[in-house]
Order: sequence, then C-alpha cells, then structure tokens
Amino acid sequence: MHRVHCKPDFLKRLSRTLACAFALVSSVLANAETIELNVYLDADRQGHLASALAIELGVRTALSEVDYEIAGYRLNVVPFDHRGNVKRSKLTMRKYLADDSALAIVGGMHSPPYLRYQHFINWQRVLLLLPWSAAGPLTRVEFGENWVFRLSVDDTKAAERLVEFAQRAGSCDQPALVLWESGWGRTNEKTLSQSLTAAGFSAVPTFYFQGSLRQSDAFHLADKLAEAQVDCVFLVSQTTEGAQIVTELARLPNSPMVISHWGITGADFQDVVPAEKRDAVDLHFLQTCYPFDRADTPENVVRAWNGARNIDPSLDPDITELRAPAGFFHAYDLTKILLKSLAKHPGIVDIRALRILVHDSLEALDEPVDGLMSRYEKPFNVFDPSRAESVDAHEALGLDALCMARWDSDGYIQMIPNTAAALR
Amino acid sequence: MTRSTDITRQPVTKFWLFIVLGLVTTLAFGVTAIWRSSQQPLDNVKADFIYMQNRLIENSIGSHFSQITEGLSYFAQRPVVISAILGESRDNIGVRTALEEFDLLRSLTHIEVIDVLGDRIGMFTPDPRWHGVFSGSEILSLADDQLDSIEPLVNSRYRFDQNFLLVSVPVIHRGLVEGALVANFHIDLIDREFSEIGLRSAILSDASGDTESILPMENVVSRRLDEIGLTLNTSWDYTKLNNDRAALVWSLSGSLFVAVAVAFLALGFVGQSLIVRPQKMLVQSQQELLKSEQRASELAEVAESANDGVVITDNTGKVLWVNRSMVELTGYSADELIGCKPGDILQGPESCPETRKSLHDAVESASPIRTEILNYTKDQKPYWVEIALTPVFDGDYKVVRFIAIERDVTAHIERLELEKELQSARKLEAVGQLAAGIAHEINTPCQFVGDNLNFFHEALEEILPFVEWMRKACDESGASELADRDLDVLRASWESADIGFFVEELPASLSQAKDGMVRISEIVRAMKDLSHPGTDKLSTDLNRVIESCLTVTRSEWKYVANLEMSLFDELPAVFVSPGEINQVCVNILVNAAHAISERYEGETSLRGCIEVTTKATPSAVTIEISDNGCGMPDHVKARIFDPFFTTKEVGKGTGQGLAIAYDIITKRHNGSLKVDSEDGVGTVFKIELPIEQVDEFEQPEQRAA
Repeated sequence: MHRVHCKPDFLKRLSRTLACAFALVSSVLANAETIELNVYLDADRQGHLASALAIELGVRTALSEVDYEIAGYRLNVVPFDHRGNVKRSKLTMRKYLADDSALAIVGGMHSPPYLRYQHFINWQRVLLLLPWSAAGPLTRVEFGENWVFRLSVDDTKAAERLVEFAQRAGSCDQPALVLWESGWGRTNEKTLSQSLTAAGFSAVPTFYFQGSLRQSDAFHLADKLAEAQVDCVFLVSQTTEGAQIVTELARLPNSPMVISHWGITGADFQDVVPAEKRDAVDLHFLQTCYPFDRADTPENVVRAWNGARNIDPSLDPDITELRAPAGFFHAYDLTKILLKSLAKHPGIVDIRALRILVHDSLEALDEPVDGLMSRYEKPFNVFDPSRAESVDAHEALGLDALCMARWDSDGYIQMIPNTAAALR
Repeated sequence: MTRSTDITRQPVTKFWLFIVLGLVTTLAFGVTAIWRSSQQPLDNVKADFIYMQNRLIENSIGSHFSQITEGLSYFAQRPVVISAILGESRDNIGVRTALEEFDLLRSLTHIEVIDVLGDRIGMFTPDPRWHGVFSGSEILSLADDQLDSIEPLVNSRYRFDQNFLLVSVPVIHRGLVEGALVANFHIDLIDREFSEIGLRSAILSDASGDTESILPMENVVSRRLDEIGLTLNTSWDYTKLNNDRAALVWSLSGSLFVAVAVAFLALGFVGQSLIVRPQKMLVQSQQELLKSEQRASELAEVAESANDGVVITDNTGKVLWVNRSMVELTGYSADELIGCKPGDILQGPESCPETRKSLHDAVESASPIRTEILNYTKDQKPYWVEIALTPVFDGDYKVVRFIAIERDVTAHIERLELEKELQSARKLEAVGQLAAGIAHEINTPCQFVGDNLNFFHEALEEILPFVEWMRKACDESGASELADRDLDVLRASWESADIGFFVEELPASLSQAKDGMVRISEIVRAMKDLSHPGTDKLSTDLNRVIESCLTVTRSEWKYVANLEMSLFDELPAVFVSPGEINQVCVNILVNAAHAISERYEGETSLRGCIEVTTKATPSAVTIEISDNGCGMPDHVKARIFDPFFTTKEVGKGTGQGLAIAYDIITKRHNGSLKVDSEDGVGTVFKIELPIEQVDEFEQPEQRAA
C-alpha cells in the first residue's frame, strides 16, 4: 500500500528555499570541522555479489582519487545487503532517513526494490543513484519530485538495442519473451513488446518465471519454448535463474538463440554455464559500451584500475579479469558526478538541506565530468513530469551507449561494436 | 513296574505341588502388597506418579508443537510465500489464497505472514474463538527498534498467552531469514483424562522455573520444557491422588491375585491334559513296550535255537538276519550272509534253474513257496535244502520282509535216490531173472523155425532147376514138343503167378529170414549172459562179452552212432564175473550213446562214432570204449566215479552206474578203470583186467559160452 503525497509547487519551492537559507546560515555558523557523510550501498551481496563488489569498487575508486574528502566533507562508504529482498532495501532506506549523515544511496543491480518503493524514495527525498538498475520507470515520475539518477542501461532503450541486434543476427523469426516475474520483468515486457511490434513481430509469446526458479521449472519452461517452436528468446533475468534457463535451453535439439538483458552478468554466470552451453544458444547480452579491450585499455581506465588495486591489492592487474565490470565503470562515473555536485555545497550540516542541494546540483551540473566511459558534459537535467522532453532528464546514458556483448570461451566479455557508438 | 510307576508319579505330584504353591504365593503377595502400600509414605509415590503424568503431558505438547511447526515450515517454503516475502509479487492475494487452502493451517487459530519490515502480508483466522489479543505484528513491535527484527522472533519461537500459544517459523530464502510465519493456536492442556487422575491445572508460561520442582503443600510441578522454551506448571489434587492410589493398589492387587489364581487353575486343568494324562499314557505305553520286547525276545530265542536254518530278508530278498543253524549249515558267517541275496551265494551251477526261477518269482510276487534246491556251502560242498519261504505283510498289505526256513534234506534225497536205484536194480534183476526163462522159451521155437527155413532152402535148390526148364520151354518157340494150346496155358499161368519174381526173390528172403533167426539167437544168448545170476568168476572171453553188450545196447547207439570194433582175436580169457563185466560195459556203452546223442542233438544228418577195442598184454587184457560225444569238463571227469554224482537231470540218472562199475573193476577184479575225456571232443574208458591162472579143474559149463 503506497500513499501518494502531492505537494503544490509553491509549497515545494518554499520548502526548498527555506532549506537553502537554513543551510546557508548553518554553513556560516558551522565551524571548520570536517563533516562526515555516508554513502550507502544497497545491493544484493548474496546472489549477485560480483555486481555489488564491482559497484562498491567503482565508488571507492572514485572517492579514493579525492582521498574520500571533498569540500570539507569526509565520505564513508556503508554497504548494505538487501539479499535480493526488496523489503530489505526499504529497511536500508529507513536507516538512511534516520541517519543524519547519509547523503545518498547507491543502488545495486536490482530494479525491483526501487520500483516498488519509488514513491517512497521520491516522497522521502532519498537521493538514489543507480549505476546498474535498468528499469525504465525508475527515473521517470508522473508527478512530484524525482530523486533517482541513473548512469546505466535504460530499459526504454534496451529493448530497442536488443531487438535491433536480433534483427542484425538474422536468426530470429519466432521470438519469445522470457521474463522474471518482477517489476523489472514487467516493465521490460512493455518495452520489448513495443520494440518487437515496431520491428514487425506480432503475437510474441511471453513466459514469466518466479524468482527462486527451480531446475524443474526451467526444464518445463524450455519444453514449452520448444513446443512453441521458438528460435529466439529475449531473456530478462537475474544471474541464477538465467543460468538455469540457458542450461535447459542448451539441451534442446534446436536450441533457440538467447538475447539477454544484462541481468545475467551480475554474478558468475560464465562459471556456472560452460562455454559449450553458452555457444549452443549463441548467448548475447546487453552491456554499456565501456572500454573493455584487453589489447587496448585507455590510460584513464588504467589509472583508475591502479587506484582500485590500491584499495584491494588482491585484484588482478588486468581489468578484464573483473567480474561485472559495468558496475565498476558506471559507479565510478556516477560517483565522479556526485562529487562534482557535492563540491558545490561545502559546509552544509543539515543533511536534508544538503541532499536537496546536491539533488539540484546534479540536475544543473554543466561542468564536464571526466568519467571512464566518457566525458559527461551535462549528464542530467531538471526533470519536469509535465514535459515530455525531460523524460530522459535523469538518464546519463543514451541508446548509443548500449552495446551487445558475449563471453568468449575463457569467460571474458567481448564487446560487439555498434555501427555508431556514441554517448549523449 | 512299581519302579516305573513311582518314577512317573513324581512329575505329577510335583506339578500339583507347583500349582498349590503358586496360588499360595500369589495370595501372600497380594496381602503383602496391600499391607505395605498402606504403610508406605505417600509422598514418594505421589511424586513418582505426578512426574510420570507430567511426562505424558510434556510429550503430548511436544508432539503437538512438532506437528504444527513442521506444517508451518513446509508452508513457509512455498514459492508463493517466498515471492511475497521478497516483494516480488505485485500483490499478496496469492499468499492469502495459499493460507486458506492449506489444510493443516485450519487446525490453527490464527496465522500471519510477516515480512522483514514487520508488515503483515497475509493473514488467515480459522478459529472463530480468536479474539485478537495477541498478534504477530505486536511481537515485531516489541523489536521494532531493531532493524533486524526478524531474528529475535525466530529465536524465541514459542510464546504463550493464556491458552493461546504462538509459534513462528522463519521464511528462508537462499539460506537466510527473510520473513516469518506466525501462528496462534489454542491448546487445552487439561482434558478429561488428566483431570480424572487429579490434575487440577496445567499452565504454560514464559517464566523460567526450575528444571523440576515439586512443592509438597501446593502440589505444583514446574518443569522447563527446553524444546519449546516454555515452562509447564501443573497442580494436582492431593486428596484425589491418595484416594486413587489406594484404590489402584487395591484393584491392582486384587486383579493380580485373581488373574494369577485363574492362571494357575487354568494351568492346572491344562496341565492335567498336557502333562498328567500324557504321563499316564506314557507309562502304559512303556509297559506295553516292555511286553512286546519280552515277546520278541522269546520269539528271537526260538528262531535262534531252531535246528533248521532261519533266514529273515527284506522285501527285496536281501538277508537281514540268520540264526546259528543257518551259519552252521552254509559255513558262511552271519556278516557274510547279511545284505546278500541267499540265491546269489548259496546256489551254484548245478542248482536247478527252474527252482531258482521259482524262488525268484515267489519273492517278486510276494508268494509263499516250498521247494527243494541244491545249495553249496562256503567250501562249495553241495547239499540239498528244503526251503519254506513265507512273506510277511504290514497293515497295508505291503510285503515288508520274508522268512525262510531251510532244512538240510541231503540225507533224505540221497536215501530217495538209493531207493530209486535199488528199485531199478530190482527191476533189472527181475528182468534178468525172467530173461533166462524167456531166452529159453524163445530159443526153442527159434530152433525149429531155423530148421524149417533150412529145409525150405534145400527144397528150393531142388525145385529151381525145374522151374528154369519150364521157363525155357515157355520162351523157346517151334521146338517144343508141347501143343501150342498147352504152351499158351503154360505161359499164361507163368505170367499170372509171377513165377519169375518168386524165383528171383525167394532165395534172398530165405537168407534174410535165416539171418533174423541168427540174430534172435544172439540176442537171447546175450540176455542170457547178462542175466547170468551171481557174481561168480569164470574164465571168460571178453570179446564175447563185448559182443553181447553191443547187442543188448544196440537200441541205444544204433540211431546216433556208427560202431567200429577192433577185437583182438587171440584175446586171452580172464577170470572175471561175466555178469559184472557185462554190467560195466553196458553202462559205459549207454553213457557213450547218450554223450553222442547230446552232442549231435538236433543234427539228424550227423552221427557219432563208438569204437570198441580189445587188447592183450602178457599180464592183462584191455577193453577200450571210446566215443566222440560231448565229453566231460575236468571238474566232472574228476568226480565221474563218485557215488551219486551225475550230470543228468533228476530221474534221468542216479549217478550210481560208474561208481558201481569202478567198484566192480577195481575192487572185485583188481583191475583198473580209467577215463580220459575232453569237453566237446569225446571220452575214452579203459578197462584193464589182470590175466589170472585158469583152474585146470574148472568145469566146462562154468566157462562162458
């Protein structure tokens, strides 16, 4: 049960103004002591530990480059494990709201927690930064404030990339959707259906599966797909369930091609599903076009990776050994953007005021931010639900930033370049 | 008998003694138990009883809890619950539906599904008595300040409020607690069964009391149930306990006494039929067995001491037992006979095959038989035995054994043979006696028949020339002085009378008739010689004796053998008894004829040969009679002169002939009688008689003619 609170605009503006005034006064009166700020990490550290660790590494690497201090603030990373339970994310949010030092929450790979509590997030003004969660509605609200900022795949564009790739592959005449029964799965159903319809497909069968999918369920699902003579599967799943489904599809005499969202890359998928089974279904998955070429790693990436290795010396010198690398790249870039925004508001003691100021700064930021994936001239914009053109206001990446990839026989991610890969 | 009766009466006496003692002991036990229980301090008994009853209640609670906990745990694993707990489903309708459809939960009062936030995402209240005094959310509210509120709820699984217990089980996802199922259920610890035995109240509480304590004055027992984390407090009605205990002791003791008494009485009656009666029957059987054994022993003595041989065989004829007489009769030991068939070791080559077959058939057909047969001792000495074989049948008329009584009848058989021989000898003597008279009677008419034949012969010689003249007259034509008519009549008479044939045949007929008469004379003479009375010795021409013997025995050898005689013309006379020498030669010649007949039996075209030769040396005269008959094997040749030894069938030879011959030649005439034979070739008998001085004063009529 969700309550919707709609404040009139003038009241919103009034509250923000008073907050800024209060922040200004408090900053003058505050002494020069460093203000401790917490950055919460809310991720699944059980079933998708690799993605959680990659995100945390990205955040810490970005913070370490400023020695965890900026503009009189000392930033601490506080990881939380929601275990794939959306309600534990709610607990994290409650803790965040009760913490006078909590600046922002950096989300994990799962979209469902943030979809479920989107209104709570926006209503309670939880500054949520998403380096992975891809569900389209997360950064879009019909009314009120939008406190979710994303530098990641946007599902409103992911479907377009997936369907385009399927057409490019040329072996997708009888597609089907296989979706995780969750908010994320449901949003992707809409976007994929729209994209497939636009591509000329009709009556595409859709199969939902529950989380905690059992092997027998995957077995029966594969049989159903075989009965439907599907030759191409659009998969929206997490790692564990995706591995089971791909394994069962690989056993079929005529295995369909699997074009997957990037949910399967959050853990050790390539270790669970061997190369021959991945190849049996010609598995491809969505990624952002981060620089991940073993033979040609950009200098900034090398530098950042060295910084990461200072944080965790056990890391392999080769960044391509990193599991769930998208989390690292996105989190690093997003944290850089956050720092840039935070630096504009030194000495704010009141956390609520600071959050507002940082939120506004993120929307207004027009100073370039050098990230690993790109230089962000103006990553975000002011979100106005009444304006259609602001639908992507809180999305740092666009369609051109999306690429397809696959695992090679050794389990390394290989990017498949688009015809024109460019970022917004 | 008395001793066995005493022995058999002892178990019966002991049995009844056992029954009586058992009853007395049971009675004493019952009285003692009642008296002692009335004297015993009650507290210990009561404590034990309460402790025991508490255990029952605890076990009942424990099993009830386990059941509910297992059911809830199973429900908590259902995907719809987990999905709702994790917030994956859009609404919680699936959880509510699952709660209502899970049958086990209907036994509960109230169930809630609570997520990690403490929110109730599903609820079901089957029991209308539930009045919402306590709910799962209120439990969580106690730990609301703790963000990880779910853990304490799981750890303290059982809470209690009045008679409603609260159970919570975790909802596990990936091994971690993500929610809880919280159930309330009503428990009624005091049911009718426990209240009847003095339970006044039973309460579960959270207060951790002593592990176990009994307060004598209040009769309250507190016991911590570690399994469920609650304390069970029971209170008992002391007065009721005492009264019940006393009643129980009385009833138990009484029941025990009655039961044991009835058991012993039943045992007595059963024992009467299972022990006493069989014991008596056993005694009776023993006595009968004793009598049977005594009777059997007496019968065995009879069999053992009988003069005749007694053989008991099994139903196949194999010896089971022999008596002493049988051992003595056969020369075999009992061990050698037992297990064998008597016919296989006692009978021999000269045992009559037909009699053996009869005995065998009698065994096969289980028929009685009485017969005589020639058996052999272990030393191969023959003996005649009369066998009376009798089968013995069982109640189903199946033969179980044979009993044979064997009596040595050798002497009887020999006596019978002697009598037969004697009778034959008497017959021959009689015939011999008649022979002389018959010979004389025949000789006389033979004489004048012979004379007349001579006359006919002489007359014929006179008449034959006239007849010849008549024939010529009839044949010649033109020169006859008879008239033609008379000539014709003469010719016709010649033809019709067949004079020519007569002329031709008459001389030969007369000659044959004369030969016949000569032969009759010779036979008569031979019979006369044979029947010569007495054994007086005379100077005798053995050639003539031989001829007489050949004549007399012609009918025996003429159909089967050719005779070749080689008699020494100048054979000296020997001083012998002609009749006895005749007897010897006749015996040998008859045996020769029989031997040839046996060899050439069935071959009518073949004939044997008998050679008779006489020779002389200065001291002895030899007669050799040889034949090419069947001959004799060595074992027969060795015994040929034994009395009663014969190779012929019973009734066809007594075995006396050659024995007597041997006796005549060797003992009465100091000669020798030898035999040489080869089985399948022939036999030669050689008689040698010494030449003795002839008495010059011997009367002529004493010389053999």
